[in-house]
Amino acid sequence: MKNVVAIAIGAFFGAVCRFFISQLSLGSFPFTTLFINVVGSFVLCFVAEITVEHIKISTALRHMITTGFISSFTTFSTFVLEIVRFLMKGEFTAAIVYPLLSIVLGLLASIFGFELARAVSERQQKEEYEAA
Amino acid sequence: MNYLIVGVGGVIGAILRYIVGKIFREVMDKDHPAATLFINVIGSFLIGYLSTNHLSSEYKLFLMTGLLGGFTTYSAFMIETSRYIKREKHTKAFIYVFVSIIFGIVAAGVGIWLASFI
Repeated sequence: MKNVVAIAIGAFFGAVCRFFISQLSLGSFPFTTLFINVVGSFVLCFVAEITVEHIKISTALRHMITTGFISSFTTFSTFVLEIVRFLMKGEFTAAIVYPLLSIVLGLLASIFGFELARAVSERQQKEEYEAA
Repeated sequence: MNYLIVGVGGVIGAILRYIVGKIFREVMDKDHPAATLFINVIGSFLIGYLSTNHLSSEYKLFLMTGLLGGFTTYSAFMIETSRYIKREKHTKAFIYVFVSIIFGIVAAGVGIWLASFI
């Protein structure tokens, strides 16, 4: 139950933040969804990796950030609907470029999130070791 | 007011996602992406179905932006794919991405098509 409440709180703000950003629409290409999904992928991987060993947080707080906020912030359904709309309008270049860009940038952001968390952990460990 | 509608929809979507994830984890191992795939494809079908319906803008915000936006997730899809890549399971990573997007597009298309005569 504690987890469900934590997820609910996180999800509320995740959805609200997504809605806020999505209103800053920039022309016909869905840059806002792309931005949301890429940033969310980075943050999720960073948080997932840094909380594995370095920073210990409670399960509820972890759920609030990951399963709640970030997962609700990013969206797959809008992403797919935007591709389908490109296809229906016959804009095939955009229908290919958009998912390709989302995947490549999303994966780069994810891997950067993992690596950054590891670098931070290692540096912290080194400092702790030297201080001891 | 619109922010409240989207936020509440997001809460319901996220809790449904958590429940579906829990059910999948009972029968599959923890890191298997089947739950995310299922959630994203079902969510794509529903957003397709709703997108052509003549709903009021409040209902669209609640169901599409809030509920389905919160139910489906791109970040989990990406973390699962990048975990495959980190473990050098490139074929699995490729299949997962390909299947998610193709099934998602087809599901949304079926939803739109279904909405045209129901």
